[in-house]
Amino acid sequence: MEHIQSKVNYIERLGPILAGIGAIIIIIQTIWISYGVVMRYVFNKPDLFVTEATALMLVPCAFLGLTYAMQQDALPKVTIISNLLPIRLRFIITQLNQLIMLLVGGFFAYSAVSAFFRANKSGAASEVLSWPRAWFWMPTALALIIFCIVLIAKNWTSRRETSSTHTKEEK
Amino acid sequence: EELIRLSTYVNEVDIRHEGFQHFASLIAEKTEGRVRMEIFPSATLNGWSEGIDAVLGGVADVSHISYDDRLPCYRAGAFYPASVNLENQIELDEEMTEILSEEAAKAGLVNIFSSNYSYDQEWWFQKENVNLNKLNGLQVRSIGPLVSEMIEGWGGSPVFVSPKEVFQSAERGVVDGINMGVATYSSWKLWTVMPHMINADLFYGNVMYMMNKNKFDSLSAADQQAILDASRETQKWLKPRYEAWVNESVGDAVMKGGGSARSLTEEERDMLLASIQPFWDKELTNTCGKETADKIRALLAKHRQ
Amino acid sequence: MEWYHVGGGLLTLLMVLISLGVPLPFALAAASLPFLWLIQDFSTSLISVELKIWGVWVDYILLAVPLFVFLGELIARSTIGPNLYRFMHRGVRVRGSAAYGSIGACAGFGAVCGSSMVGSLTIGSVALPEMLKLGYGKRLSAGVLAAGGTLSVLIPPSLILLFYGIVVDVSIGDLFIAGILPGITLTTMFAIVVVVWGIINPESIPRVDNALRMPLFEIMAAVLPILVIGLVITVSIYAGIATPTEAAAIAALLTLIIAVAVGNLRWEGLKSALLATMRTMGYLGLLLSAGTLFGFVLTYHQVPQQFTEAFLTLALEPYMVLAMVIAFYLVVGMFLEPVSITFITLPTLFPLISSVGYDLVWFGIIYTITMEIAVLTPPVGLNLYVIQGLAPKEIALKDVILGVLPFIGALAILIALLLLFPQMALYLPELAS
Ligand code: NA
Ligand code: NA
Repeated sequence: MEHIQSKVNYIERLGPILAGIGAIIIIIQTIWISYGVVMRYVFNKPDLFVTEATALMLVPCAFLGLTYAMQQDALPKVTIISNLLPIRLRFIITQLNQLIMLLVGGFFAYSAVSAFFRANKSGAASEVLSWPRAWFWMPTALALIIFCIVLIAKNWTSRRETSSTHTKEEK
Repeated sequence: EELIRLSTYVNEVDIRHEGFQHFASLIAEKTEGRVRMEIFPSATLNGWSEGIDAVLGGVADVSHISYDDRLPCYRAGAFYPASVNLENQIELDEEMTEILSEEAAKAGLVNIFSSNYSYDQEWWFQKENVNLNKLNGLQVRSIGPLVSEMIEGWGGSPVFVSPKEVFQSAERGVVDGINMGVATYSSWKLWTVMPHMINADLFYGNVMYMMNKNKFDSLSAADQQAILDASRETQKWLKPRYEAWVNESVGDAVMKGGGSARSLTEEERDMLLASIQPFWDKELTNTCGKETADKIRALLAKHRQ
Repeated sequence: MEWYHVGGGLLTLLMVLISLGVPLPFALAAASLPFLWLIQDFSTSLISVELKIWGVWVDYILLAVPLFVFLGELIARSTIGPNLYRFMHRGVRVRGSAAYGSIGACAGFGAVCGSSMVGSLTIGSVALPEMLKLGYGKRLSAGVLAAGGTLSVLIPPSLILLFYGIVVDVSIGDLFIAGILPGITLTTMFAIVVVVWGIINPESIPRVDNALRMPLFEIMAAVLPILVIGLVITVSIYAGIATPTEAAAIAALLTLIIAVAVGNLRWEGLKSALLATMRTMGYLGLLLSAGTLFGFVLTYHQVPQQFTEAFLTLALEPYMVLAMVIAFYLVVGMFLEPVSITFITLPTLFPLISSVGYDLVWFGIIYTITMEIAVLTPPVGLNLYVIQGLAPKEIALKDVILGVLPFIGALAILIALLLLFPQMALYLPELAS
């Protein structure tokens, strides 16, 4: 069990790493857009790529933080009703919720992966830049796949913790 | 009953939306109710750039098709510099559809409707009497690399502004000029903030509405023909209405907003065209192949103004 | 399946999932997918979802979201934010000054920003942690900031008024000018809500600390950075130097420089600001895509269109038409976000309003207020989630929802005022023309 737990710990580190990649994107967007304004307003040499390039980067950026938000328990939810339920039932509902999240996350991940492969084949580019969409689908798909893996890992960890406290109490 | 979902970026206050409604009722009539068309305006099914993906994936059956790498010749042909006489617009569009049909079929598409109204991307400026071929460093909103090439060639600086920021950019003077289709310009109410138009007539610029070819082929021959007939009749029906609508918005803007509108003289136009033609000749031949490129050039020459 | 079966079923399923505690982005998607599969096979539904992932986010103006969140986090994690709120607390000797300051900041920011979510995010990410630290009640703090953001869409420029003008075909300039007086009125009413709140529930607002006076130098150090950042945003937009999105980037870069130079921001602080920004983006990413998917499924089944048609067949008296339309938007506003509502329902409903003789500029302002309420009402109320996401550990969604209720009351009173005194909206546009 312990060596599985250490692997799970590694997996759970992926959340902050993805968020870090997203953070780098935000820094690039901040600097590039500001540079674009200076070039246009001061030097009358508008940057032709900045508008579309930074918008394209926003797609992966919007999903790279999902795993981290889930780990930090920052996903908005209503717990007023489920808090009223008895503990046993609450546990089942938590498991059901995580299953729903896994199914939705899995479907979105599947969709992103298939989009990546099709974008790769068709070579469809954006309007202005000839950057392939596949470049932006890859990190997006990766973010959604890792979300599912980390969700499973987290569920495993929390179930293990619950069962170990149960055992202690019984002793 | 067969349902066809048509997706368009055009919103419901645009006269072109009435055109689609007319199209839908003609289809119902001609197929005696066997085919029904549902219209999804304002890009509710897919955005401007996602037309091909939506149609090939089955989300929409028909959609506006953006200038995409999967249809390189459609893309290059739409921007090919040519002064086109729109008197025989419907025949012109049909011949162009014919030329591009092989490329479209290869992508799994078939063109069923040409929306060649804003046949030109026109030009607007904050100031009156701008000389289009001497832009003297003016910053002009461009819609793509092709238009940018022109703006640079005439001494201006092309700028990309996202669609949702065009209004405020024009109002606050982030850009000095805008390149855009007249209909969209009017329905976005840009006349009030950037009122001086130059009508240039510089390209063909047809936006095609293509249908999923599998879906089209699954219809009976009679229903296929009914759709194409309905399309042709709709385009005839809409052309004068569209032109009146555009003229009205141009006239309103000129009268109310202190705006102005002028067309290029033939000489000015020829000079501008000559300045960009060599680049586009090469581009067209490279993307379409010599044979198709020559067909397109011949067609546009036939309908020359 | 009839449209009302789809509409009813979709909403019921959403409610069940939300009550079970499924996080909102997942609940929206999980409710939508079964109804999507009713009309699309599996492979087509994959493309639909793909279009909602891509199409929603490859949007330049949404760049303002991470940029303003980042800016706010930088202010909050350097000494700039804490200094400002120390000033609000001690420098201004009015009880509740931080709450009034937040409303003022929201209104001021609303003069450059057109989106209420961005307004709430920007001011909220600075003000919320500070208000909580100063001892303001959770509900008051969350309520003020969630509601304050909506000032951005009434005070021009405004995305909702812009889209309204495009759909309804009235002058956008007139609409913007018409929003000014109601915007100022609403700002005042929000301040009154805080006053009344303090009387009814005194422990929500900390007492003024009379012990210390702030030296002038400290006051300058507290106010100057924020003034400079605000000025750069305002001037760059108004002088045509930058678009609103570009102004967000410039302001974020400037804030970073100021925070490092005088705000004592170090590597740890920057790292946590960036991670907090990604945490907020992390749920907004899926939330916006899933929310759009939800609206897409409704539209695909023609639910909003059919609903509007059913409404039109009722053939009512003018004031009843207006009342029903307002009620309609309050209900629809619970389940859809404003931009979708505007494009889906408005084209069919506005001719009805003008056919019974109401002024469309005036109605535009009323419409915008209903859209401000829409972002504050669950289950789909973006501002609620934005504010809760800024302090997920301290504040429960319930607190935000209860906190905005009095402000929704103020919005409702503003609608009533506009019904009684249409000149509130029409005076300035008439003066201008
Ligand atoms: Na505003
Ligand atoms: Na709502």
